[in-house]
Amino acid sequence: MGDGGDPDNELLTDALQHGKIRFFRASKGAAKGKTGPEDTTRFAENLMVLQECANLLGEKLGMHAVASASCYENGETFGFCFDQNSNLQNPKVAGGIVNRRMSFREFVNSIREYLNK
Amino acid sequence: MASLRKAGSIFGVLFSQDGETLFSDLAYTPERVTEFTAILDDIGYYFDQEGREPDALAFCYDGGNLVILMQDGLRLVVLHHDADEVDFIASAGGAFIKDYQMGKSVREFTENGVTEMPKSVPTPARDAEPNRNVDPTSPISSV
Repeated sequence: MGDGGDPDNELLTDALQHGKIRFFRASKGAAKGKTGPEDTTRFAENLMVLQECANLLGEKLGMHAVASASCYENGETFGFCFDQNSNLQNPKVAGGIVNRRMSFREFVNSIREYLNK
Repeated sequence: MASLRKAGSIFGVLFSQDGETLFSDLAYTPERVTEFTAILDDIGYYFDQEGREPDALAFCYDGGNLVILMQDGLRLVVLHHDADEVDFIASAGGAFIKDYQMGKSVREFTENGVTEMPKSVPTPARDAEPNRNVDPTSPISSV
């Protein structure tokens, strides 16, 4: 996977250099982030893929209401959490990408902390 | 596999290869397990078509948690109740897959009557490519 592009984005550069999680939010079909449009687009694509996987698998297992999903791919960790306090008709999601493999638990907790800010 | 099954809050394990179920103790009908295995394969196929190589997925649902490990057509699925065990399960499951692949390679080796290692096997110190993607200043966590 690439580094998310936009070499002029200081937040992205800093995050990549120090292995910090890049956070994003999504609702009403749109994703927002501070690390540039290319990085945000990557998050949105990953979000859709993970949501689809979660729905397909959950339906077959009889599990519903996915709360979070995360993934390791090469040297990256990415994923999302649903905001449990958001309106079910318009659910809000927060997620992240980080250029290292980190503990799933730590990753998800970090996103939840970001959600609660 | 039995050890993984008995550890912690795990309540189901599935191991498959290329769509074929090698082991399953999921509390579902055989038909549903087959359908689930097919979905796993579809997901793997999708990523393959997109040129992507995820090796671990973790999902947290209302009714439980799911870890999926993928490697070369192998799929290990673990269902567990305690979300805090996700990293242990991912790590243990990854080790199991590696052991399985190693065992399979050894079996194929011996079945072919080969007793010496092929000369093309690289020695780690001389031939290993450096990981240019690693930033020595970044706080890398190994799982």
